[in-house]
Amino acid sequence: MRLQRCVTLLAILLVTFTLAGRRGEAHKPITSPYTYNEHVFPIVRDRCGRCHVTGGVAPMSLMTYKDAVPWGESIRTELIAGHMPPGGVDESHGRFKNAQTLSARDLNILLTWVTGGTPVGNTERTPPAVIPGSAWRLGTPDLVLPFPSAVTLGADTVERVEEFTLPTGMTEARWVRAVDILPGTPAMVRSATIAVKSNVLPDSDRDGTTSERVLGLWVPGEDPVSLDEAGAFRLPAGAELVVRVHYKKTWEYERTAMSDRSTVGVYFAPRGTTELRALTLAPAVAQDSRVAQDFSPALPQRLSFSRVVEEDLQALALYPDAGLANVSLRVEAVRPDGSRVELIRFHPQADWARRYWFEQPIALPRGSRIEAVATFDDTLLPPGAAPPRRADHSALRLTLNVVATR
Amino acid sequence: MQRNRGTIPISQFELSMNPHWLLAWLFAVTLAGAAPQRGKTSPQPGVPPVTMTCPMHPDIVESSPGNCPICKMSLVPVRIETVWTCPVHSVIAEDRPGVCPIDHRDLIQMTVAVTFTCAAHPEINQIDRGTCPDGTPMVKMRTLRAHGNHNPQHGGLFFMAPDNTHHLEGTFPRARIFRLYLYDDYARPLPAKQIKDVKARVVTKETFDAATRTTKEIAAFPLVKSPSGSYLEARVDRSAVPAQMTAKVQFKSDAPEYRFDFTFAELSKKPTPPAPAPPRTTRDTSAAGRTRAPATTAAASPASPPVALADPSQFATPIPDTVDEVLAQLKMRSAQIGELVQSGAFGAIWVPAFQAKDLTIALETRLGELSALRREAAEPAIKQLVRTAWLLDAFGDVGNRQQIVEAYAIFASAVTDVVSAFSARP
Repeated sequence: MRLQRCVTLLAILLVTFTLAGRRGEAHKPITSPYTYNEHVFPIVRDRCGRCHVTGGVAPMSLMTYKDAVPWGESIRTELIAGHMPPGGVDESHGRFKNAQTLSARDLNILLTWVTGGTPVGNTERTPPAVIPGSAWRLGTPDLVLPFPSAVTLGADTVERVEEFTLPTGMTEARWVRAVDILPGTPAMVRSATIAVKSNVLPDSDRDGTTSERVLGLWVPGEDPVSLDEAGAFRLPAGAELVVRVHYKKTWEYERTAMSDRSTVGVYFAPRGTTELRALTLAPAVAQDSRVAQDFSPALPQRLSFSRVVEEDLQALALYPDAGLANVSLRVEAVRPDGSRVELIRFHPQADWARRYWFEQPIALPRGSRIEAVATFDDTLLPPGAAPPRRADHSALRLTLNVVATR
Repeated sequence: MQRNRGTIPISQFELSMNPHWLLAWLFAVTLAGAAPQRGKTSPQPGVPPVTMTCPMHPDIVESSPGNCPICKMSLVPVRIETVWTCPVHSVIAEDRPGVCPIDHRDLIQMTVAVTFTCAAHPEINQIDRGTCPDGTPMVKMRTLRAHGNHNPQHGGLFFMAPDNTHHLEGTFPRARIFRLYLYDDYARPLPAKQIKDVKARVVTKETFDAATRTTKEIAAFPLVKSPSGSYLEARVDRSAVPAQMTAKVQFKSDAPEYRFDFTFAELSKKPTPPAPAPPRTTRDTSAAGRTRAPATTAAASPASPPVALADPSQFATPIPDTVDEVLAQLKMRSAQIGELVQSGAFGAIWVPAFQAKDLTIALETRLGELSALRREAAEPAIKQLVRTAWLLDAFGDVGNRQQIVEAYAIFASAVTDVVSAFSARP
């Protein structure tokens, strides 16, 4: 131990002299052993490069050293807060097919780099330029439906929601395993919902489930999940798709006119599969003033609601209504035999509404009770992080949708 | 945020020796050579003048070359500029107050270093404007200056405000007196003009209702400006140590109120001035506290001077060879954090927190040895542990007990999950 302490002291003296000897070179301490070129770039390219690239939907590129360095503090708060990569799902309580996460090692490398002086590393290893991808992520779709017209956001418009109706022109019913969107101008396509127009599918059955009409919740950077034999969406003959797109410019382009014409891609499943059903779950008082008011300490911090399943179901996915944010949700099911199964714990982020696909189907026998607990505004944010935006009252809809097969 | 840490005595955290960390440290030092190169320092139009600063203590700013009064390192040239920037988006630099175009929050004043670089050669980072190898003129680059060091200057407890700009130090110099020293982003005393806008009180007793998350103050005392104007003071109902007090501070009338939880293990003693007087310091040299490495917190015993002083973030945590030893150390670090939380020594939490995260990352490479079921439990717990270690580090700086307690609860639960996933079956 004494020898060890001697070595410590020797090392400190050595480094002190080394630093002192480099008179006039450093103006801030660099403590990160990780550098951009060697360690940071491969992580941000693979994990963030779909959006954080020049021409991408994110407000900044991280694909070069010069691009990334000014965002160091922002990267730190977003990573520590768990806001990026987006997803908001607690992986300790369920496995999901489409979770977007960083490994502990990668997270630590990025945080060490941004807090430790953001060194560039070996300049001979400057990474090649990253070109944003423009290919369908599941390969060429079986049905390609371009938006009927281009959408232009003028120099005075920052964001807008547009809705399109796209006739499929199909003469027979088909099964759909996935849908995707190929943005025309990725920098302005922020999110989209692709659904089957409601007049072509029957309404709620006696048992309370409906045909699942929402084919996809599209967010940038997420690979669409292609359904396997567990089930598929039913697309009736002559069906029309309704696509609702949130267009939003990033701060850099706020005063520039931009146009987009994106394309919907539909992937068909083999015939004779099982139809995906939807079961909604909402508080009896979902629109009641207790929830649809601004948060204040006097309001309830938790709200519980539940629903009994009236037939045997296999739950495949769960998603909240768009716009839900600033709330933590915990969803469990109690089966008729008394056993309890956890479906999900998540914290939806504004603008990142997505469907969480369970890694394995979860059996919910008839008589199971799905229980949800919503806790408001309880996340721990690091200093410097933007406080949660006050939700738009009408957007605060606590409706959960369970996607299941019979 | 690039910032300097309060200095921690190494012996306190048993940094056992391993030649690897020495190499890692030397590696880091070598990398520091990538920082700006010194060039000519002639006055340049539109560019802030050159001042001299310490590479390790950025709050030291002097007008001419010399040595750092804290660590004796040679001072290096820097061009310092004050700009209005977003709280977290330092890419925005305006010369007047306004609103951040990215997140629409109010701009805050920050100190940046101005250097020059080339688009095609980001490794070029020099203090004087010049010409790039391709013949184009160099472009101006602003780098957020390190926060002032987080060492207390009056023997008290030092925190950073959650606005990432202000800093403050609470002292308990004698029975029934609480003082609050306010600093800017650079750990310089806050100008009297800004102190005038500060509304603050100190709370010695309050209750917290977990259901509604509301706090009720039982004993609160207004903090008023001292006659000299250099600090705020309150007469409190506490005379014995240990004493817990919470300062609630609003820096401007339209700013949020922040809470800072102080735990004084003993009365604050003003540090003794350094042996050699700091030469030609451009700032108030009476703030002599920084010239000595003080105890980071009141909980650290000032009676036993540390054997060696260093920033433990520069040491790679030695990783034991066996999983059992890693788990034992992990539990020990978690227990240490628990003690620091308990004693209110928030500024020191990051040391065992970072050691715990390094130990845990080492376990991540051994996930393959676990059964599928255990791996599923361990993987998210490891991520949670690493993230909350960084969260604890961030919260430790700002000193809000409630946040720290909540973050530690998540951290400790992740430690339990990691330990149980990796422990041998009974």
